Amino acid sequence: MNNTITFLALFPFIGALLAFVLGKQQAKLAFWTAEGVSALLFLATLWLAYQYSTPISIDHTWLTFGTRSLPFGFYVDGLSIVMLLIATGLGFLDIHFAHDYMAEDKDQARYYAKVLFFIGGMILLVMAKDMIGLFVGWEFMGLASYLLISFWHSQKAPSDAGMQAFLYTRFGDMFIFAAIGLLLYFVGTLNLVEINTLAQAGGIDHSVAFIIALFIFIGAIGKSGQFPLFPWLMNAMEGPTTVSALIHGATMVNAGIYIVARLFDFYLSTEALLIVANIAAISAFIGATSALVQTEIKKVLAYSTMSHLALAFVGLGVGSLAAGMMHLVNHAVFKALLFLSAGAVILAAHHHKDLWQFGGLRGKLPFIAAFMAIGALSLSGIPPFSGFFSKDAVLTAALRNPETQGLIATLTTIAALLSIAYIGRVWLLLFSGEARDANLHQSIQRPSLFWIALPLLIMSVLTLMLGFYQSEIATFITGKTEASPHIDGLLTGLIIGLSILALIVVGLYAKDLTLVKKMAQHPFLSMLHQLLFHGYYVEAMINWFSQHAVVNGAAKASAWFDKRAIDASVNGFVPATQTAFNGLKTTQTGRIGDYIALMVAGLAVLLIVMMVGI
Amino acid sequence: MSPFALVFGTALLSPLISHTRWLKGLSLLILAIAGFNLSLGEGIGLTYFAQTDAIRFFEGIILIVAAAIVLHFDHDDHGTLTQLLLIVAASMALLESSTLLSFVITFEAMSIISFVLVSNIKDSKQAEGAIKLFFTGATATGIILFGLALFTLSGHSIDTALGNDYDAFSLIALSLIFIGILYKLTIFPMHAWAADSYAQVSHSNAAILSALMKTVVAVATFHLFSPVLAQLSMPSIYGLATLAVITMTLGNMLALYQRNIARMLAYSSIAHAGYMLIPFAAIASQFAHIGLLYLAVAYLFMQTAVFLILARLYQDDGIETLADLKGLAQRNPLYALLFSVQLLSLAGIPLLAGFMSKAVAFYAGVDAGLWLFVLIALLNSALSVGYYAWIIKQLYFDAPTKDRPLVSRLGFVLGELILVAGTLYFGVVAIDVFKVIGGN
Repeated sequence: MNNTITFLALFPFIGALLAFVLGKQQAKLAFWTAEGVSALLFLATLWLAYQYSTPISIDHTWLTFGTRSLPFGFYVDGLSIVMLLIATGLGFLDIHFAHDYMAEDKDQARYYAKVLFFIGGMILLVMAKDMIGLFVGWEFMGLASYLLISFWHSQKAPSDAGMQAFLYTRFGDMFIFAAIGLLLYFVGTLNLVEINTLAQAGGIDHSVAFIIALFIFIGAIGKSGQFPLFPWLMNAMEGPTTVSALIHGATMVNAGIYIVARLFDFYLSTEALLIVANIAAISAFIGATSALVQTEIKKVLAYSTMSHLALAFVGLGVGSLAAGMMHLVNHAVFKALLFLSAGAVILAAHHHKDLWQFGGLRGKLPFIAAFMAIGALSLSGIPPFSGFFSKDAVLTAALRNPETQGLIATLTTIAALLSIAYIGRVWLLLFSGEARDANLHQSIQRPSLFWIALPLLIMSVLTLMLGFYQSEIATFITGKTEASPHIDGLLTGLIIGLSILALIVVGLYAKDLTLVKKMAQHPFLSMLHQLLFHGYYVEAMINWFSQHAVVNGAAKASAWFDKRAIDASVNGFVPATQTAFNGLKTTQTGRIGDYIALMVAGLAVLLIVMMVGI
Repeated sequence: MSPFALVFGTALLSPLISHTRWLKGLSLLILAIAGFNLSLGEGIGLTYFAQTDAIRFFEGIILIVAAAIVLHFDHDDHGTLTQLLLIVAASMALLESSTLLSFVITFEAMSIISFVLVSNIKDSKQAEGAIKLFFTGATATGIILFGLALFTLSGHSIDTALGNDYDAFSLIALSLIFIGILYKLTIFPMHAWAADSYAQVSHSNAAILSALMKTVVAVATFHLFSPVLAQLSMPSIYGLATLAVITMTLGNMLALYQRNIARMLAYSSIAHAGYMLIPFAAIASQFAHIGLLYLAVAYLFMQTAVFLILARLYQDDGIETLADLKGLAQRNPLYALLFSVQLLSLAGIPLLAGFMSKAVAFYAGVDAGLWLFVLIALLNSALSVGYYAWIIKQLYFDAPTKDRPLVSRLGFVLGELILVAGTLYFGVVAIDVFKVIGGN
């Protein structure tokens, strides 16, 4: 068991190095290395899951300074194993898919090395026992995400998007770092398990615990693309679709939820959960409504990711670990499926992404249409697909909690229902009706069955199967028996709502698009459209704020101080060092007699000093 | 068989095959076997010698670094390999010395081998460096023997371990010996020879002198003298700490505007001797042991690596000054990368051994209440980035003056990879050094 854990922690990085070195020799070798490494990682995780009975804990100290020490241990329980399965399993499928998707790229060595490095970061994160290991994994993933978003770094948009992602997530990371400092100083432990038990026993001062929980959550907001730090997630779609699927759909963005789930008992004991629920409900609403009007396939999926991660956060925020985690698991699978289906369409259409250029692809890409439909049905929450069960559980939990019954439950329900509208719109615009761009339609190529359709098929089957094992997986994660909660009438209400929305979407988008175009002319609706299209102008507001308050205000002030005080003193220091250098240089006469004289004279002085001491 | 006997025996027999191709491989094999025996816990096993976990750990590091140096040589250059093996054997003996007698004898043995090492003179510059090493070494020997004589006169025997209850007279005698040893550590005011010798003898010899011998002397001296140091009163401790900061400031200031790389590195070596003296002064702290050991381990990897790179660059391309280094990254990216990592480590950039070792040593200083001296050391450390970064700037950001590409040599690269692995490993995994001292 311990060997498996060590293997999981180290092998991705060795694999990344191998993929890079071998890939530089021959491009194809990079793919095969990555495929082999990720397959082994997945098998190791399966072995771990098969052997698992009780939480495994490995203690290791990084370094000790007096009474303070920095631990670097591993802790693997049900939650970790489920996250590991997601990271390595979807990682493997994603790498398999990339065989065709990245086939034309010249720099495959770099691509696969980075992806494996990313998987390594995710594995470190979910196996970490302490905040240190968790933070290391967290930052590794942040770095990998930056490197992969700006993978096509010679173009402006991807490199800008990478930078933006780095800055937004970095903003959150600062708070995690601060939280580590607070934990070390006030709580005295960085051990995640101990933090939970201490908090439950009331061993942490209430206000300190609240601040720490809040800081960690700000980091989670950044990583998981929640309000208001979500704009980076939308621009991250500039990266390769395989990257969006793995990192910005299925795994890394889950890290924020994971960290709250890992510290769930700690969060329960503070009042921070309500804040989590509030932010999440707002994010769910913003994401779902903005997704309605996006014109790029991947942007719709990005807003939908934001919205669905928010649903998982709501699940945690209203106090149900099982509901939140189950939605995370289900979402990871069906969102990877949706992203990769979109990737298959984009690949077939030679990297065109605008929804309005497509239409009538049903005949050309029947498999992709079917797989994407399964993903869409699961996302919409139609039984018996997995998404239905967890969404239902989240809503039930939100409605049952007296503190969140009102606004939070309403916003969440709206967001949950709207899923069918935006994903239905995407599917209809892609696959039904007439081809809107005849040339593009002509040039569509059928993708490979083995490299493209097979991973999608596996994910579709998983999406269907997950629905039947919800309570078992929930029990595995939480370690307690989890029965699906139930509220009378909720199901009927949801089904009715979904049906109405489905009818509206079909009416608007299935055949005749004239009504949609007419609606776009309406002044009020077009204003609303603009607002939603730009994600409620949150990005513009953040830019405005950083431009005026940070760049023109604080940055200018510190630049002035830097120039007048720090630079000036450094510049003043240079002549002083030069004088010292020239003066000291004369002591280096090069004559051996001088040196020995200096030695003996020094000896006399030192002896006197010593004797004074004695 | 004890590692000492293995290496020493091989060194004595090596002249027989010094003109064949086998010596390099044999040396590596013997170092590997010695390392294996060492890991079984074998020491010298003679009277007056004793081994502790820390010493055994450091001896292991020495064997690794010696292997890297062996890999660096293309062929046996007039018995250099023999002398290297002798120095490794003498180092082990010096480190394990548990009495003044064995310490002084092995210390002298090491000095004499170092004279022989630099006696392979090819030009007048090297001759000057060798002569300076010899004369200052002889003077220091005189001082040490004088101290030893005084110590005997004070009625103490020199073949027992040092204790901690000495009268003033014998403390003066011990101080004399200690000060005589400080010359090897290039502590002010006994530093001047080092700047000339390190820069003038051949660079691979400078690697052995400035890295291997200096760290061995530091660790062995600390090991033997720590009971005596603990007996020193505060003014003497402040005296030592003052020497430390003077030495490092002097070294850094003189390195700052040097144009000759070897001379810059020689002064940087003097500066590092200053850092190494901090744990000596911080003897009151429980972290002094580990601080010194960590500094020695890190410094051994970094300093050996930079001087060997310089030796290779000088031999293959005649590079001597900063201007010659311009654009090396374009001519041989691997060399430039290896060089830069070690320079960054010397400068004390985090996640490299140089940073962690300084952090632990300085922590010991603060723990012992020498925070003012540690503050000066920190400022020095910041100052030193000035010239290390300057070298890296030449490597990467300047246009090359020659366009002939530089071919990588396999043996040398392997040796450098060993050294860079050490720098990275001890930059990240600090706990291994802590475990050696025990307690944690």
